[in-house]
Amino acid sequence: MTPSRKIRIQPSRLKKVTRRDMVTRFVFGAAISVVAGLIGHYRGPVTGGVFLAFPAILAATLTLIEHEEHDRVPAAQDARGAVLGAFGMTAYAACVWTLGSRIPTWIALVAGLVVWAVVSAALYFLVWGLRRDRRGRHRR
Amino acid sequence: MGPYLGTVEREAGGGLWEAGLSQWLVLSTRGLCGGLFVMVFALIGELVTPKQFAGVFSAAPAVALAGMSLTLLFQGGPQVTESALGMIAGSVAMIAYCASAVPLVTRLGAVGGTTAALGVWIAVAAACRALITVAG
Repeated sequence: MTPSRKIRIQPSRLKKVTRRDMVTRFVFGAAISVVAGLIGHYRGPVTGGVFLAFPAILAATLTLIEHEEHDRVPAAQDARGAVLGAFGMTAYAACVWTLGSRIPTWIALVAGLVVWAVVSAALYFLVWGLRRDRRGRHRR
Repeated sequence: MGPYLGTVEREAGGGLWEAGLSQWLVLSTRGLCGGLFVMVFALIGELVTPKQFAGVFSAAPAVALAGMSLTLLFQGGPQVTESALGMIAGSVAMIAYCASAVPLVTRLGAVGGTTAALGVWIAVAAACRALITVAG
Protein backbone atom coordinates (compact mmCIF):
# COMPACT_ATOMS: atom_id res chain seq x y z
CA MET A 1 0.00 0.00 0.00
CA THR A 2 1.35 3.49 -0.84
CA PRO A 3 2.21 5.61 2.25
CA SER A 4 -0.86 7.80 1.75
CA ARG A 5 -3.13 4.71 1.76
CA LYS A 6 -1.59 2.97 4.80
CA ILE A 7 -4.11 2.58 7.57
CA ARG A 8 -2.89 4.29 10.70
CA ILE A 9 -4.31 4.89 14.12
CA GLN A 10 -3.29 8.33 15.28
CA PRO A 11 -4.44 9.16 18.83
CA SER A 12 -2.95 12.65 18.41
CA ARG A 13 -5.80 13.45 15.99
CA LEU A 14 -8.18 13.39 18.95
CA LYS A 15 -6.70 16.73 20.05
CA LYS A 16 -8.26 18.32 16.97
CA VAL A 17 -11.74 17.10 17.90
CA THR A 18 -13.67 19.94 19.45
CA ARG A 19 -16.56 19.87 21.88
CA ARG A 20 -18.74 21.28 19.09
CA ASP A 21 -17.86 18.27 16.92
CA MET A 22 -18.88 15.83 19.61
CA VAL A 23 -22.05 17.68 20.54
CA THR A 24 -23.10 17.82 16.87
CA ARG A 25 -22.63 14.09 16.48
CA PHE A 26 -24.36 13.34 19.77
CA VAL A 27 -27.36 15.43 18.75
CA PHE A 28 -27.62 13.78 15.32
CA GLY A 29 -27.40 10.32 16.89
CA ALA A 30 -29.82 11.09 19.70
CA ALA A 31 -32.35 12.69 17.38
CA ILE A 32 -32.46 9.83 14.90
CA SER A 33 -32.59 7.25 17.72
CA VAL A 34 -35.64 8.96 19.21
CA VAL A 35 -37.28 9.28 15.78
CA ALA A 36 -36.62 5.60 15.01
CA GLY A 37 -38.08 4.64 18.39
CA LEU A 38 -41.21 6.72 17.86
CA ILE A 39 -41.74 5.41 14.33
CA GLY A 40 -41.21 1.86 15.53
CA HIS A 41 -43.78 2.38 18.29
CA TYR A 42 -46.49 3.93 16.11
CA ARG A 43 -45.82 2.30 12.70
CA GLY A 44 -44.38 -1.07 13.70
CA PRO A 45 -40.87 -2.46 14.17
CA VAL A 46 -40.19 -3.04 10.45
CA THR A 47 -40.80 0.60 9.53
CA GLY A 48 -38.93 1.74 12.63
CA GLY A 49 -36.05 -0.52 11.60
CA VAL A 50 -35.66 1.39 8.32
CA PHE A 51 -34.57 4.44 10.33
CA LEU A 52 -31.93 2.45 12.20
CA ALA A 53 -29.91 2.78 8.99
CA PHE A 54 -30.42 6.54 8.71
CA PRO A 55 -27.12 8.21 7.74
CA ALA A 56 -26.74 10.05 11.05
CA ILE A 57 -22.96 9.76 11.49
CA LEU A 58 -22.10 10.52 7.88
CA ALA A 59 -24.32 13.60 7.61
CA ALA A 60 -22.74 15.10 10.73
CA THR A 61 -19.21 14.11 9.70
CA LEU A 62 -19.38 15.54 6.19
CA THR A 63 -20.60 18.92 7.38
CA LEU A 64 -17.92 19.05 10.09
CA ILE A 65 -15.15 18.03 7.69
CA GLU A 66 -16.01 20.74 5.19
CA HIS A 67 -16.45 23.33 7.94
CA GLU A 68 -13.04 22.58 9.43
CA GLU A 69 -11.00 21.87 6.32
CA HIS A 70 -12.78 24.34 4.02
CA ASP A 71 -12.39 21.77 1.32
CA ARG A 72 -14.83 19.40 -0.34
CA VAL A 73 -12.22 16.77 -1.26
CA PRO A 74 -11.80 15.23 2.23
CA ALA A 75 -15.59 15.14 2.63
CA ALA A 76 -15.94 13.31 -0.69
CA GLN A 77 -13.20 10.86 0.34
CA ASP A 78 -15.03 10.14 3.58
CA ALA A 79 -18.24 9.50 1.63
CA ARG A 80 -16.40 7.03 -0.64
CA GLY A 81 -15.30 5.02 2.38
CA ALA A 82 -18.82 5.18 3.75
CA VAL A 83 -20.13 3.35 0.65
CA LEU A 84 -18.11 0.33 1.75
CA GLY A 85 -19.31 0.69 5.32
CA ALA A 86 -22.88 0.80 4.03
CA PHE A 87 -22.41 -2.60 2.37
CA GLY A 88 -21.16 -3.80 5.73
CA MET A 89 -24.24 -2.29 7.39
CA THR A 90 -26.49 -4.24 5.01
CA ALA A 91 -24.60 -7.40 5.96
CA TYR A 92 -25.11 -6.51 9.67
CA ALA A 93 -28.86 -6.16 9.22
CA ALA A 94 -29.11 -9.38 7.20
CA CYS A 95 -27.08 -11.22 9.85
CA VAL A 96 -29.31 -10.05 12.71
CA TRP A 97 -32.49 -10.80 10.74
CA THR A 98 -31.27 -14.29 9.82
CA LEU A 99 -29.78 -15.29 13.16
CA GLY A 100 -32.04 -13.35 15.53
CA SER A 101 -34.73 -16.02 15.56
CA ARG A 102 -32.26 -18.91 15.73
CA ILE A 103 -29.79 -17.93 18.47
CA PRO A 104 -29.95 -15.61 21.50
CA THR A 105 -30.56 -12.15 20.09
CA TRP A 106 -27.68 -10.50 21.89
CA ILE A 107 -25.27 -12.98 20.25
CA ALA A 108 -26.85 -12.16 16.89
CA LEU A 109 -26.17 -8.44 17.54
CA VAL A 110 -22.52 -9.12 18.36
CA ALA A 111 -22.17 -11.41 15.34
CA GLY A 112 -23.73 -8.68 13.20
CA LEU A 113 -21.16 -6.17 14.40
CA VAL A 114 -18.32 -8.56 13.56
CA VAL A 115 -19.85 -9.16 10.12
CA TRP A 116 -20.05 -5.38 9.54
CA ALA A 117 -16.37 -4.97 10.42
CA VAL A 118 -15.19 -7.92 8.32
CA VAL A 119 -17.26 -7.06 5.23
CA SER A 120 -16.35 -3.35 5.35
CA ALA A 121 -12.64 -4.02 5.84
CA ALA A 122 -12.56 -6.72 3.14
CA LEU A 123 -14.26 -4.39 0.65
CA TYR A 124 -11.86 -1.58 1.57
CA PHE A 125 -8.78 -3.69 0.90
CA LEU A 126 -10.33 -5.10 -2.27
CA VAL A 127 -11.31 -1.70 -3.71
CA TRP A 128 -8.28 0.36 -2.69
CA GLY A 129 -5.90 -2.55 -3.30
CA LEU A 130 -7.23 -2.87 -6.87
CA ARG A 131 -6.87 0.88 -7.42
CA ARG A 132 -3.25 0.77 -6.21
CA ASP A 133 -2.44 -2.14 -8.54
CA ARG A 134 -4.05 -0.33 -11.49
CA ARG A 135 -2.04 2.82 -10.75
CA GLY A 136 1.15 0.79 -10.47
CA ARG A 137 0.54 -0.81 -13.88
CA HIS A 138 -0.08 2.59 -15.51
CA ARG A 139 3.24 3.94 -14.17
CA ARG A 140 5.14 1.02 -15.75
CA MET B 1 -38.03 -10.26 27.68
CA GLY B 2 -39.88 -7.36 29.33
CA PRO B 3 -42.91 -5.77 27.66
CA TYR B 4 -42.87 -2.20 26.38
CA LEU B 5 -43.26 -0.09 29.48
CA GLY B 6 -45.67 2.39 27.95
CA THR B 7 -47.98 -0.34 26.70
CA VAL B 8 -47.98 -2.11 30.06
CA GLU B 9 -48.96 1.07 31.86
CA ARG B 10 -51.83 1.74 29.46
CA GLU B 11 -53.16 -1.83 29.51
CA ALA B 12 -53.04 -1.95 33.31
CA GLY B 13 -55.21 1.15 33.32
CA GLY B 14 -52.43 3.06 34.91
CA GLY B 15 -52.64 6.80 34.90
CA LEU B 16 -51.88 8.61 31.64
CA TRP B 17 -49.15 10.45 33.51
CA GLU B 18 -47.38 7.19 34.41
CA ALA B 19 -47.73 5.91 30.83
CA GLY B 20 -46.33 9.17 29.50
CA LEU B 21 -43.46 9.13 31.99
CA SER B 22 -42.50 5.54 31.08
CA GLN B 23 -42.58 6.38 27.39
CA TRP B 24 -40.46 9.50 27.95
CA LEU B 25 -38.01 7.45 29.99
CA VAL B 26 -37.64 4.88 27.22
CA LEU B 27 -37.29 7.55 24.54
CA SER B 28 -34.75 9.47 26.61
CA THR B 29 -32.73 6.31 27.11
CA ARG B 30 -32.86 5.62 23.36
CA GLY B 31 -31.69 9.16 22.63
CA LEU B 32 -28.88 9.03 25.17
CA CYS B 33 -27.60 5.64 24.03
CA GLY B 34 -27.95 6.49 20.34
CA GLY B 35 -26.04 9.74 20.80
CA LEU B 36 -23.28 8.02 22.77
CA PHE B 37 -22.86 5.16 20.29
CA VAL B 38 -22.69 7.62 17.35
CA MET B 39 -20.06 9.67 19.23
CA VAL B 40 -17.93 6.57 19.93
CA PHE B 41 -17.92 5.38 16.31
CA ALA B 42 -17.30 8.92 15.08
CA LEU B 43 -14.32 9.19 17.45
CA ILE B 44 -12.91 5.92 16.12
CA GLY B 45 -13.28 7.36 12.62
CA GLU B 46 -11.34 10.46 13.72
CA LEU B 47 -8.48 8.28 15.00
CA VAL B 48 -7.83 6.45 11.75
CA THR B 49 -6.36 7.52 8.42
CA PRO B 50 -6.68 7.67 5.45
CA LYS B 51 -10.03 9.44 5.09
CA GLN B 52 -11.44 6.65 2.89
CA PHE B 53 -10.97 4.12 5.70
CA ALA B 54 -12.28 6.56 8.29
CA GLY B 55 -15.38 6.85 6.11
CA VAL B 56 -16.20 3.19 6.86
CA PHE B 57 -16.96 4.23 10.43
CA SER B 58 -19.35 6.90 9.16
CA ALA B 59 -21.56 4.02 8.04
CA ALA B 60 -21.24 2.05 11.26
CA PRO B 61 -24.46 0.55 12.67
CA ALA B 62 -24.22 2.80 15.74
CA VAL B 63 -27.87 3.86 15.93
CA ALA B 64 -28.94 0.30 15.16
CA LEU B 65 -26.79 -1.21 17.90
CA ALA B 66 -28.13 1.23 20.46
CA GLY B 67 -31.72 0.91 19.31
CA MET B 68 -31.71 -2.86 18.97
CA SER B 69 -30.05 -3.36 22.36
CA LEU B 70 -32.75 -1.30 24.03
CA THR B 71 -35.49 -2.98 22.00
CA LEU B 72 -34.13 -6.33 23.21
CA LEU B 73 -34.22 -5.05 26.78
CA PHE B 74 -37.67 -3.47 26.67
CA GLN B 75 -39.54 -5.50 24.06
CA GLY B 76 -37.75 -8.78 23.45
CA GLY B 77 -35.98 -10.62 20.65
CA PRO B 78 -38.77 -10.97 18.06
CA GLN B 79 -39.11 -7.18 17.79
CA VAL B 80 -35.37 -6.91 17.15
CA THR B 81 -35.57 -9.45 14.32
CA GLU B 82 -38.46 -7.57 12.73
CA SER B 83 -36.63 -4.26 12.99
CA ALA B 84 -33.59 -5.90 11.36
CA LEU B 85 -35.76 -6.68 8.32
CA GLY B 86 -36.64 -2.99 8.03
CA MET B 87 -33.01 -2.10 8.55
CA ILE B 88 -32.06 -4.09 5.45
CA ALA B 89 -34.23 -1.67 3.46
CA GLY B 90 -32.63 1.31 5.20
CA SER B 91 -29.13 -0.07 4.57
CA VAL B 92 -29.75 -0.46 0.84
CA ALA B 93 -30.88 3.16 0.90
CA MET B 94 -27.70 4.00 2.83
CA ILE B 95 -25.58 2.55 -0.02
CA ALA B 96 -27.47 4.78 -2.47
CA TYR B 97 -27.05 7.75 -0.10
CA CYS B 98 -23.30 7.32 0.23
CA ALA B 99 -22.81 6.75 -3.50
CA SER B 100 -24.82 9.85 -4.40
CA ALA B 101 -23.17 11.92 -1.64
CA VAL B 102 -19.78 11.72 -3.39
CA PRO B 103 -20.74 13.70 -6.54
CA LEU B 104 -23.30 15.82 -4.70
CA VAL B 105 -20.89 16.94 -1.97
CA THR B 106 -18.22 17.68 -4.59
CA ARG B 107 -20.69 19.80 -6.55
CA LEU B 108 -22.85 21.38 -3.85
CA GLY B 109 -20.69 21.34 -0.73
CA ALA B 110 -21.27 19.26 2.41
CA VAL B 111 -24.53 20.82 3.61
CA GLY B 112 -26.14 21.04 0.17
CA GLY B 113 -24.81 17.68 -0.96
CA THR B 114 -25.85 15.91 2.25
CA THR B 115 -29.33 17.34 2.06
CA ALA B 116 -29.75 16.36 -1.59
CA ALA B 117 -28.44 12.86 -0.87
CA LEU B 118 -31.02 12.54 1.91
CA GLY B 119 -33.70 12.77 -0.75
CA VAL B 120 -32.08 9.75 -2.40
CA TRP B 121 -32.12 7.87 0.92
CA ILE B 122 -35.79 8.62 1.51
CA ALA B 123 -36.80 7.52 -2.01
CA VAL B 124 -34.82 4.28 -1.96
CA ALA B 125 -35.85 3.45 1.63
CA ALA B 126 -39.52 3.97 0.78
CA ALA B 127 -39.23 1.76 -2.32
CA CYS B 128 -37.47 -1.02 -0.41
CA ARG B 129 -39.97 -0.80 2.45
CA ALA B 130 -42.81 -1.13 -0.07
CA LEU B 131 -41.07 -4.17 -1.57
CA ILE B 132 -40.96 -5.79 1.88
CA THR B 133 -44.70 -5.20 2.28
CA VAL B 134 -45.41 -6.71 -1.14
CA ALA B 135 -43.08 -9.67 -0.58
CA GLY B 136 -44.34 -10.27 2.99
